[in-house]
Amino acid sequence: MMLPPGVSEEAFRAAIHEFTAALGADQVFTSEDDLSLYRDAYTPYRGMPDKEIVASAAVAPVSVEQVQRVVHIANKHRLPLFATSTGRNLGYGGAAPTLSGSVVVDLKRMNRVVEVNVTDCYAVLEPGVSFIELSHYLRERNIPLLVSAAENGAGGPVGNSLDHGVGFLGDNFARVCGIEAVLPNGEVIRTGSGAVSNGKLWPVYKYGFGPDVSGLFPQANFGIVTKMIFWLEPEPERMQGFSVSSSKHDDFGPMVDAIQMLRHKGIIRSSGARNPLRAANNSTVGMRSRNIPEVERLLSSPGDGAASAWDALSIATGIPNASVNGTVWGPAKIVVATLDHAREHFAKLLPHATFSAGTARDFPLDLATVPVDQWVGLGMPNLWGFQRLANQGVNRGHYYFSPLFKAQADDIFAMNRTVRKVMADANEPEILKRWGWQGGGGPFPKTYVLYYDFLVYDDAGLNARHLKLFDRLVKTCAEHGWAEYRAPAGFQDLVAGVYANNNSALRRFCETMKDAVDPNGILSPGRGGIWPRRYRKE
Amino acid sequence: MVTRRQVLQAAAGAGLIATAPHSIAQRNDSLPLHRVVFDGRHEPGVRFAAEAALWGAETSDTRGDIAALYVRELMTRWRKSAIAVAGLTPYSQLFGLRLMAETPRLRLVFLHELKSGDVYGPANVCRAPLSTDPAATARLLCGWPAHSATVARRESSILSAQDHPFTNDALVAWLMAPVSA
Ligand SMILES: Cc1cc2nc3c(=O)[nH]c(=O)nc-3n(C[C@H](O)[C@H](O)[C@H](O)COP(=O)(O)OP(=O)(O)OC[C@H]3O[C@@H](n4cnc5c(N)ncnc54)[C@H](O)[C@@H]3O)c2cc1C
Repeated sequence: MMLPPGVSEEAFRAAIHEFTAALGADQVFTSEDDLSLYRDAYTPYRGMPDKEIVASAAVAPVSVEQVQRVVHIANKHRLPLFATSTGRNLGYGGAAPTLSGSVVVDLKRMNRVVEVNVTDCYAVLEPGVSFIELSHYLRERNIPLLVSAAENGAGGPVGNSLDHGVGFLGDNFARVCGIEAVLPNGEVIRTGSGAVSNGKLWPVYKYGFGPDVSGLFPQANFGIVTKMIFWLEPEPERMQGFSVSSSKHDDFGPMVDAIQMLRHKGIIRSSGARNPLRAANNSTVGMRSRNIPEVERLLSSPGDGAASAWDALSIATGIPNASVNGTVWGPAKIVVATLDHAREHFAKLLPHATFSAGTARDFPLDLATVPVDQWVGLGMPNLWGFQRLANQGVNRGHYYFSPLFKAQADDIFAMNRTVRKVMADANEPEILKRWGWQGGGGPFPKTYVLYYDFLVYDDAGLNARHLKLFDRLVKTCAEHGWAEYRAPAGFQDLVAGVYANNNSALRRFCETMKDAVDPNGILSPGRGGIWPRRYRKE
Repeated sequence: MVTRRQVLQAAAGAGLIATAPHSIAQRNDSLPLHRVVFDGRHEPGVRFAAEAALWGAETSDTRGDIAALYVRELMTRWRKSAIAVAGLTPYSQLFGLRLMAETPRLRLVFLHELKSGDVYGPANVCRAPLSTDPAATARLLCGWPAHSATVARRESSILSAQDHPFTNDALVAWLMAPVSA
């Protein structure tokens, strides 16, 4: 039997007994079979059983009152809990806890769509509602609202936003207007305007009065979220993407600045930047290397190649040296006018660049006419992401290295040089080949984020080497001022360690609060790198 | 949704079933089965579905995409109650479905790669009589005794989320069933 650290077998058994009395025997899980569902299906520690982070038990409450009872019992026996909503955080830890031996509080059964308000465009959700279910709920009722779904439609708005996840409409925590949570002492709190007794503004005004504490709940351990106000998006009349490309290497900088300015002005809704020629040899998941030796030679040369050499290669291969893209939506007339504006804007700035508009998608969508691999980008979550990975030969899952950097050409180039050097120094040619050269995209309006998937293999030695490389990448990027926005369960301390300004004042502040509100250290110890006193290595 | 008649016609047209279809009701003590899922792009899948249809099962063709099938058919049914679903598909189509099946607490209680030889997969895959014949496998899954899911669970460890015993394109017969009853 796996026991949580610092908990005796007697206390553990007593807690399980009390959980059973509170929730019923069929909602308390201790057998190996049942607990296998709470292992990370994509564990980076494949073949390293002593390293894998596993739960000692799981409980599945169905109401706020049951969550409160679970918290009371955990306090009594000083048992660490770990809350998950849909528990499908694949690539960042799955349903597994941060601390081995924790009891997973699986909230999948709390899956009511409590309310959808069409006038104010929001949903009140319980944690177990998945993206697929919410979107289906809206379609079934002909409600013309879209949910900002992640590609993994099995996940849900609550869990996803609580890990600062992103959907096809961008930053999901930005859509959270208020939270209801069970605190470590069992009390129920509502944040923002939800704190007003009989208040009407919870779903529409975030801040309430005084500190906005909603931000204490994501990537942290200050409460178990039991309800969330999640803003939805009115279905647009039309959605249409566009891209601009050029063979000139030096166009990349002005192009990135221009696309970002359109974004800052609120003219376009999403943006991204790529250098297709530099990325021509990438064999990242979903990309087939074009095996152009000259690309490899230039990327590996000092200063990664002169602009004139890249220009010549672009002309010889027909592959652009710079490309940016954006998405526009709204009434069809406004989409047409916006695309005209963007076309003119780029034509003035870079007369030789090529502007192409993508397919216009008009709502309501007739899904039968849309290929399934495009559903997610149009607001229809599904399970295609898993099929996509399978089609691309990913057998054992992956975990994400996801650094943020500035949405500027200089930073994109510098980040690529830095990462490539770490990979080359580590003598991991396969990883370097897969990396190739990466651009950036923007679920967040003012920064780019990169998702590089470290594949998991059956070879434990290889996995162990990749873990070390991940560690080195995080630390080296930190030296340049780039940090991850999110990290797999086993890397919480590593990434939190990057946020170390002024002798880690932020972490110390969080831990001071943690000790005050969770003196027994029962809620998700270690999440976000925040450890309660009893587990802290001072 | 593909009708029983369509599956039988397709299978008969392809010369996959020799005899005229005749419906055999599911045995009373067999596991209530919501439907049989197959990937019609693979001939054994069509044969499997034809046999299942003979046993009275509803069948659905994933055509390579279990996501759409889940959204259109399984999600609504599983919201009402946990009910078993059997299938013969490439292994890759199982992963996402298995995740969603966890919500109504269904488990993968049978998983078998359809290829010749008597290797049955790793020890922790639930055991059942071996067959490489899709028709025999369909018979087995449609007639799966109701109590077996629970028994299977007690006797052997169910495939854990981390066990990926097959390659993505391996054709596998599978059964997801509620096990907590
Ligand atoms: C194919 C594929 C595609 C993906 N696409 C995307 C994507 O487009 N965007 C993206 O962001 N991610 C993506 N991911 C990563 C991940 O699967 C999603 O972010 C997913 O939404 C997270 O899982 P979940 O929603 O089930 O959250 P959960 O696993 O339920 O929660 C995530 C974390 O939040 C905390 N938490 C959850 N619930 C609570 C609660 N009630 N109270 C307190 N804390 C809580 C916990 O620390 C938990 O570990 C993808 C993964 C894969 C494999």
